[in-house]
Amino acid sequence: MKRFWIYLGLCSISLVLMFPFYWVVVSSLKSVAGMNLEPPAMYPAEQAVSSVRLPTASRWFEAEHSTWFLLLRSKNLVAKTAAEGGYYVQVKDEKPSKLVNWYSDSEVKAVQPSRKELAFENVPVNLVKGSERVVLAKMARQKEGGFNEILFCTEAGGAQTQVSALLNVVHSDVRFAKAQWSNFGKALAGPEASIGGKSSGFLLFMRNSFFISIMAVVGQILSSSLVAFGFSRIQFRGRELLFVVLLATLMVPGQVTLIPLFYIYKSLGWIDSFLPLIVPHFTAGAFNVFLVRQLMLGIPRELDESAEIDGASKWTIYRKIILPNCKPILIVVGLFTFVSTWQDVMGPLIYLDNPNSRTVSLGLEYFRSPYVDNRPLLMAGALLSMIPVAIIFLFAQRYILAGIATTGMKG
Amino acid sequence: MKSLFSWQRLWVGLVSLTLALLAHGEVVENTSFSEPKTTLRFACWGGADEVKSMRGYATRFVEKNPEIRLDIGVYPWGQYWAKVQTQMASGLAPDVLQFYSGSFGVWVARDALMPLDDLVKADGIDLGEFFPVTLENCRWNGRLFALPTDIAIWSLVYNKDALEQSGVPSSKWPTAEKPLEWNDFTQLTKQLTLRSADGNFAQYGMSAGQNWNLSMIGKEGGDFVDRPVNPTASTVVGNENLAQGIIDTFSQQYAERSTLGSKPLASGAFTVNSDTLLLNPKFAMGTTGPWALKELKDAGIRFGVSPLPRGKKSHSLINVNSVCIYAKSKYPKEAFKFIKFLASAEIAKERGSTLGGIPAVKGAVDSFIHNKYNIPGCEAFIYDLTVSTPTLTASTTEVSKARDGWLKLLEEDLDAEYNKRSDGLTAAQYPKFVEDMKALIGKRVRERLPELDEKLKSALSTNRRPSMSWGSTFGLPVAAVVLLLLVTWGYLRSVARSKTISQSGWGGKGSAIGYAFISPWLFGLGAFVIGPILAAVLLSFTDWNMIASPRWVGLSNYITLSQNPGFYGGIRTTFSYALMAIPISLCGGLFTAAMLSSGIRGADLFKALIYFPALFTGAETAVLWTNMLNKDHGVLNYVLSWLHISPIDWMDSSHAFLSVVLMNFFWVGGAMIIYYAGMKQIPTSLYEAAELDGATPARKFVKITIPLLSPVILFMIVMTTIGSFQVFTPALFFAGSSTEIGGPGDSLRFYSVNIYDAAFNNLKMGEACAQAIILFFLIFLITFLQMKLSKRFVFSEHES
Repeated sequence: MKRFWIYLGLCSISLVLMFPFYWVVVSSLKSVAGMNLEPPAMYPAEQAVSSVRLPTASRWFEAEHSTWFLLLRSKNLVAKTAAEGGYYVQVKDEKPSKLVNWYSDSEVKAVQPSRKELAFENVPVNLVKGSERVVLAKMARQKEGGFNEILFCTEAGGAQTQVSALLNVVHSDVRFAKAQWSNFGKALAGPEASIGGKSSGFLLFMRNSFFISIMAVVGQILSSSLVAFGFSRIQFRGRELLFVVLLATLMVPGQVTLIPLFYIYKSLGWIDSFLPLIVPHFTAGAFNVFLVRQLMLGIPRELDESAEIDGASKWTIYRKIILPNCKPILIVVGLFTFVSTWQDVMGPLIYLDNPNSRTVSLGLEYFRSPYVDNRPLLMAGALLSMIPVAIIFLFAQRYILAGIATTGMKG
Repeated sequence: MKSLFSWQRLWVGLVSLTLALLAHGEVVENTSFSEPKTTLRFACWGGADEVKSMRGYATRFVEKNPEIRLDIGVYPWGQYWAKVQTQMASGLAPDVLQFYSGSFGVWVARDALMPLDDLVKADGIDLGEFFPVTLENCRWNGRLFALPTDIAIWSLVYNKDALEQSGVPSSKWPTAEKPLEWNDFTQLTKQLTLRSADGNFAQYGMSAGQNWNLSMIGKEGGDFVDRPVNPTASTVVGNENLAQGIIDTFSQQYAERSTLGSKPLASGAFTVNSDTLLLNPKFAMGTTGPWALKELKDAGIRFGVSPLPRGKKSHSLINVNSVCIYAKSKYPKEAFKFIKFLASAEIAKERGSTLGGIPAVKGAVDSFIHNKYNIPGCEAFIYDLTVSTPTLTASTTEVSKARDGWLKLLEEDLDAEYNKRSDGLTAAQYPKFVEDMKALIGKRVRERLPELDEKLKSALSTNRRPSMSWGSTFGLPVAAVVLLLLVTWGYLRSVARSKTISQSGWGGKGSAIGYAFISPWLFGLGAFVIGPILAAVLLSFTDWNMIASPRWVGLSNYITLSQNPGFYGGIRTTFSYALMAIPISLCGGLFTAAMLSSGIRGADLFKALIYFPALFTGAETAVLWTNMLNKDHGVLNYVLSWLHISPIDWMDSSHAFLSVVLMNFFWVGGAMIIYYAGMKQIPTSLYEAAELDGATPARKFVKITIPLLSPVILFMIVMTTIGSFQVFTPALFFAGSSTEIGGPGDSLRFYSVNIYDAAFNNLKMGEACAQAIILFFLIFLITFLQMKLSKRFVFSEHES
């Protein structure tokens, strides 16, 4: 029983936490219109809308059949009680032939929009009921293209097309699942290509991001293990003091060092190259040193002492004894570094200028436009940029999940 | 030694590979011309579309001016200012910069821009070519600093079908040449507003799109400040015209609701962009700029454009896009050539004929009115342009922020009242409701105006510096630095001493090897950490706009901060955030970790699933969050609606903070993993012994797990606190743009936001550095206190 509750708890927590990822995938497959559906579609949905052109010359229509019904569907239609006649609204199933119910004008009510039911508040046209026929009146007063759906049908069914020939309109608003796979193609082509220009393309951004991130990972693994070894295994003057300084550097806010740092890189002539994004990683991040040191403190000292008796140098101890034992934490450090460099926007923005050296996270910014709704493309781009992180996590997760011991409970 | 050598080779190889990728900005030049060239750097903002059009203009320019090579940087709007300022601060500033009227004042007041009067005179360019009002937004204290390129104006747009259908005779339709009188307009909106019997809106007569409120507030001739460009005083108190303008504007929205207010409009899923609102048949009228007309036309909407309605006077607001020359540009002549080209009738005609914006040059008006898409009615924009006033352009963004923040809070208040009172209203009660709301709006506006006056006054004085004595200018800073250094040194030494385990390794051979091992970090510390920190300390005693050289002002920045309520507000917001984020990470992390370490099968899978979201905290998830949190088409409210919870506006000023706090749930995996690791280290023998004594799981958790985990818990609390002081990204994407950061309504003014705002929105690097220094000590103090306090509660093996 206890297990059941634990599983239930974990399953629900995981579901909630994974939901945003589900949402990225769904959204990246939607069209712009599909993204604006209300209520939101939980799957990549489309609305079929064939554009409506009501004939402007003639505004009165008559139909021979005795039971023509005009169905106008939209979430909220314009209310106008016609003084000269009633209007009839049919609430029906999705298929026009299946007539379920119908209201006379006095009964027209707002129906809560939901999937199966058609929603009406009021109908903007006047349907004047004749003795033998139904006259559709003043149709064209409605906006062109204003409705989500206009259906015409008879009890016999299948009349939709006939009337559409008559009126040159059929507007339907049926949701159906449709995935816009082309979003990924467009995202891969790059931001400029999405508006018909020449672009350096997403794959190039990927290459840049990979280069920077992998260099950073290499740098952090090398340097933080060396430094952590120094702090955990060698006694030297001022060691504890320097370690406190190291921890203190964690607290320096980035906005302030940004400009002096830029100045330094500029003096070095590194602007517009990947160097400012890579080289600092070879000087060991404070938090990484801290993590690695914690693990090193847990490695029994007897190991190096016996090696030292055998005449091993500190370097040999580091290479042959400590480093192999640090593999799990170094993989963790590598993952953290990869993820943070991969997602960094500010660094690439500040230090890089050339469109060809944009990174993924910076390139994504160019999909944003105040005038064009590019959200599905942005989502597709965001998803593409998440994939490498996810893949790397897949490989490294064993080590991370084995646990990051941050405190030397034993040491 | 051999292995060392290979490391070196690797290092050299990496560096050369990186250098091989060394790239330049995007350079446009005329290759048929080989004489020595001047390289002009040009920065502008935009997305992919601007990149494309700028490339086109640049190519044409270098064809005519082969001696100039253009290095163009188009940066995303959100980061444009930070990028340009960083370049300026280190002497890599672009020669030519793009500006819009709202940001122009901050820069020109801080001497970043070159006065153009002499260049204009030398060139002979006729300023009479430009609409006078556009130049007003380019002048500062009588001198010209920019050339206007194009203008953004939002005029009235209406759906002809909607008017026809409501039986408005076409003789009464708004025209492109003449604005409606306010009363006629009010009548029209009422006529076009259609409600069904149950009170739902079938059609909104009007909608408060971009700039609508600010334009209409001024229709009676009242304004918030004495003049729009470089204001010096607040003119709020006793300004009947202003009060009337505000009351009229909001009465339409929150009493009659013949206009849908900007708050319900923004949260609704009517359309993403309020400029193309007419795509939605629910709206009869709205505001739009010329750039949106083609989309409306393509969608088959029959629309008409008209100038904004007029009250006592015609009034609209313009946003001027302009180009400027950096004050220290080495090539002012060439730069002027380029800005002249960008502001020329040639470019303006092109942008005008594709309805990209309203031309600032009179000569391009024809191609704008008879545009490429044959869209009629563009005369309306020209009409509005001639009667418009410039956008508020002050020497600090605080002024417009004070005004907009006040309006936003007022609107939220009215919106809440409207929603509360209109709930379940019958048709018979409706007229009384409107009257009551009108009275309430009048009362609230008048009540709140003095508050606005105070805000504006303090915003207008933020650039004034307190008068300083010699002591506080030089003596005290030096004394403070020396004292702090001594204290820090003493503290560090005492920490170092108390922790030194053995004295055996002092000095000698061990030291050299030790230093050799930590040398990468020492190098980084010296090169990339100490320098910038020292620079920050020094800069905190200066007034530095990142353009001119820093000016020593002593403790002035600190004194200004101590008198700034926004500074304390930032500390408060950050602390309340930390106080809520800590329990979430603590309880969430402990809870999940405890469940996972209970020895169930499949724990690894759950661990991975729970940890995974913690990897994604970057800015690229912003679009996801804003999409999910939207009031009307966001999935969160949709899911909540299944539980019959009415929609919540997660991104308004009263909920944004909560939303950011709640996001911490998604990142709980980070804490979970660390607690889990801690739990794994607890010897199972302890639990076994407890089990023998008949302890319940809960008791074991409280009596064994928690105490043994206390060092980890302390560590996580410290880390979360430090993290809270650096939280920034969520504030950025809730505000929408980096210039409005801290919003909505100051609800997300975290400490780090204040630093960013001072540095990059207001060009006060000195003040930003002072805040950072204070932050440093604040974090230090908190960490220290937490450590001290916890001595009593934290389990330590050494003691027991």
